[in-house]
Amino acid sequence: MNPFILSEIGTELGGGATSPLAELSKGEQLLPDEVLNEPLESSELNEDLDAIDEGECPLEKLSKNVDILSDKELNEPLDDCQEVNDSDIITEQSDVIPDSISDLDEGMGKANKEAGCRRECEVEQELDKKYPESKGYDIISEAYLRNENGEIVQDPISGERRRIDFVVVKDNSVVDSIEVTSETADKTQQMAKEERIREAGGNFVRTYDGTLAKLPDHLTTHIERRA
Amino acid sequence: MKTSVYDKVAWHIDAGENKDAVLRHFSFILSWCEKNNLLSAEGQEIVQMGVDDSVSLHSRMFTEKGNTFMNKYYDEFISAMDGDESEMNFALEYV
Repeated sequence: MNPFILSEIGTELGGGATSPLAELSKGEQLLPDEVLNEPLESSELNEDLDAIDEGECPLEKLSKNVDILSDKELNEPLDDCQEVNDSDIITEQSDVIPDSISDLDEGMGKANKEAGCRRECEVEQELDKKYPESKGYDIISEAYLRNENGEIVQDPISGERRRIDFVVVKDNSVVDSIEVTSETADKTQQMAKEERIREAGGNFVRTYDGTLAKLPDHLTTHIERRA
Repeated sequence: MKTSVYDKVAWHIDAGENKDAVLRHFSFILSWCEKNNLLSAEGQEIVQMGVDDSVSLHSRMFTEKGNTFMNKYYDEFISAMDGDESEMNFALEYV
């Protein structure tokens, strides 16, 4: 702020009526022409203005003294960084064994479920056509192998039980037994377990009306593999 | 009578998931359902025998309220463990 102008403002405000801006707009000369037109000496701004007058941008002038990296150097990787590619990341992730399903992506659980549902829906539709209810067939899903008393039988070795995805029952007898799985899952242990449970008396399944249906000795569960 | 299947241990194990982790999840879900009286007699029978790789979660195992919960919310808790109990309790209030 120019003290000269401030003094003018003070005078006018003292008079009480005229705004200093209004006074300035009257064109009154507050500084003499020779003062206003005198160039500022030793000013960097003044030098820059001179450069612009000569057609040179001040930024270009400043950049003259700066070393610029070549394109080749700019495109080279920094020494402190190692290049990371996708295969490295996947290897690191596959080395981590999750200790809970929460460590896995929730979407993975849903994907497993969707794949399982899709496979079983396909098979169930085929079974509905092959074994129509109108001909006395009853398709039971999620059937545990039970003994003649209706109790679930455990594998004498592993202590585990055996649940079959679909059994087809007609006249209180099982006529088909189906397990649905992926194209790659190994079911060797499951089939061995079923055999042991059958030998231990697990030759019945419970139907929807609560009665027991017997699996004939010759009938074994067959695996339906789907993508 | 059609049975609705919500999930199976085998679906996850066959897909290569860690078996112990999958069993922990199913144990948690079933014990939580038992605690909240959502299991039918068939569901209680499975829980009493313990969770193994034969377990599936299906509609015959649950009460009417249990089936409503499973239909509505199970997919949100498909990877749930013990720490998620409060969220499941909250969801149950809306069943």
